[in-house]
Amino acid sequence: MIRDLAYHKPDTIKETIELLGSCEGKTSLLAGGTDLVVNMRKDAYHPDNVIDVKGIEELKRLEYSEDEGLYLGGLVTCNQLIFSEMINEKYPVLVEACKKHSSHQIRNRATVVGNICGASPGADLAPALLVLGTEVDVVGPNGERLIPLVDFFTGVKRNALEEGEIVRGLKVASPIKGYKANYSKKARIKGPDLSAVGVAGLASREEGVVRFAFGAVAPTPVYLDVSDLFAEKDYKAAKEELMEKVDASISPITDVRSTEKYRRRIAGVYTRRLLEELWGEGDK
Amino acid sequence: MKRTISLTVNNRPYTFEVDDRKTLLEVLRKRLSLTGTKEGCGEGECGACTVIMDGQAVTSCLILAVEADGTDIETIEGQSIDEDISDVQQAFIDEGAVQCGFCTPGMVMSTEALLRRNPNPSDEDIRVALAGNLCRCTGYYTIIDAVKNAANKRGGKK
Ligand SMILES: Cc1cc2nc3c(=O)[nH]c(=O)nc-3n(C[C@H](O)[C@H](O)[C@H](O)COP(=O)(O)OP(=O)(O)OC[C@H]3O[C@@H](n4cnc5c(N)ncnc54)[C@H](O)[C@@H]3O)c2cc1C
Ligand code: FES
Ligand code: FES
Repeated sequence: MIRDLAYHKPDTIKETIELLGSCEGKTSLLAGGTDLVVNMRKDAYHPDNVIDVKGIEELKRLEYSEDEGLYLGGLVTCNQLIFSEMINEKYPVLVEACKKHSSHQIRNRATVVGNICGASPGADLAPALLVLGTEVDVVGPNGERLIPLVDFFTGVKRNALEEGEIVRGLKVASPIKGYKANYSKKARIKGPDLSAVGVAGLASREEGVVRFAFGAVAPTPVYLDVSDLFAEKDYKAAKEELMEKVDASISPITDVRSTEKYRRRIAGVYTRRLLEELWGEGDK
Repeated sequence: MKRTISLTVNNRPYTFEVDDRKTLLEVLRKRLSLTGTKEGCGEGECGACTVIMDGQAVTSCLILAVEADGTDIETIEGQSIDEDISDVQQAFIDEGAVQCGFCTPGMVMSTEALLRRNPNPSDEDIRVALAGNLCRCTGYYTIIDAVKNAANKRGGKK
């Protein structure tokens, strides 16, 4: 049973920020509710006020341009990305990550921004957005700011938003020339399940870029840009160093979904496989 | 707090007052006595509470009733008129896809939403669409057969 609360549904961001400033007690923004309402129903969290952002037109933006890249508004759902031709063409790794997120019904409601704001260590969209290069577009009582996604995650289920701030959307960089990217997820079952390990990789031979990001193996998603390694060293040496780097950068725990040892091992295996798939064997 | 909401359920318009903390599932079952929609887990995991909201399959246990203000909801009750059941429901019977029946309303609603957006689903499409609907009885194969059967009857398959 959910505890008593006051529900608000503003039409604009401005109104939302005013409400965030004026509501008494604990206040939560509500997007798809697939994280928030679960916690409310479990009585794990009980806000006094819930501000539903689904009435705000501005948050529905989903736009792409060559120069600016992708703008992914706060209300864009996982299924919207899966069914978007533009996303399939320009950012297929986002489709891959969304397909590995929850179930069809949940994806109809779950937003990408809600996934990021929830800041779960295993949030499935985080690794793919990290390797693509993403900034969080934030609006608050003191104006607007852009936070690099790497800095947005500050702890388990904690993000860099300050009081009264709302995420308007995500700015994803224009696709890097000749890039390939993919997301591998290990869960306990083939069907819907939170990830035990999630690894995204991105590489472009043309631009000499190699990036990896990891979910569910540290308190916050881990990001590694190893382009320099692959520019400076031969493939075998760079790969070896990458594997060491991965092992040193993650700090997995043992929980219901996996053991620490298994998480470490899978993070390594997926990194190696993704490297081979995206960068290829051979010299540099 | 309470507020007044208006929504359409199975083509019937309703306006009533609800408590902000009630879920759509609770309102459908308790307020409108539409008990065909089931509560399994209450956490979005099982799909027993699946309804179609503005054309999309969603889990009604994770939606506050106030969020449904202004929406169009379809539940299992809307799939049949008296004895006249839907082709999807008939296909579930014909393929023996119903045992205890607890998952069936959710399965039927997920199937209905799938066939509307994809009249000719592959096995993989069916598995993806139903991955959020758990069944403890059938072992799923008959359910997949039922979806294929319904798709065929609707003329999706050439
Ligand atoms: C059955 C089930 C399966 C799931 N499976 C997965 C899975 O496989 N992978 C995965 O990563 N997650 C999974 N989840 C978790 C959840 O669905 C996702 O994290 C989802 O993307 C959250 O989005 P939402 O829109 O529903 O967020 P909400 O629940 O609406 O919000 C989540 C948090 O973000 C805040 N928030 C939302 N929008 C904004 C905004 N614009 N500005 C600031 N703060 C905001 C809210 O206040 C809240 O704290 C699952 C959940 C369920 C119920
Ligand atoms: S009762 Fe809603 S998904 Fe289980
Ligand atoms: S028929 Fe019993 S749960 Fe599916």
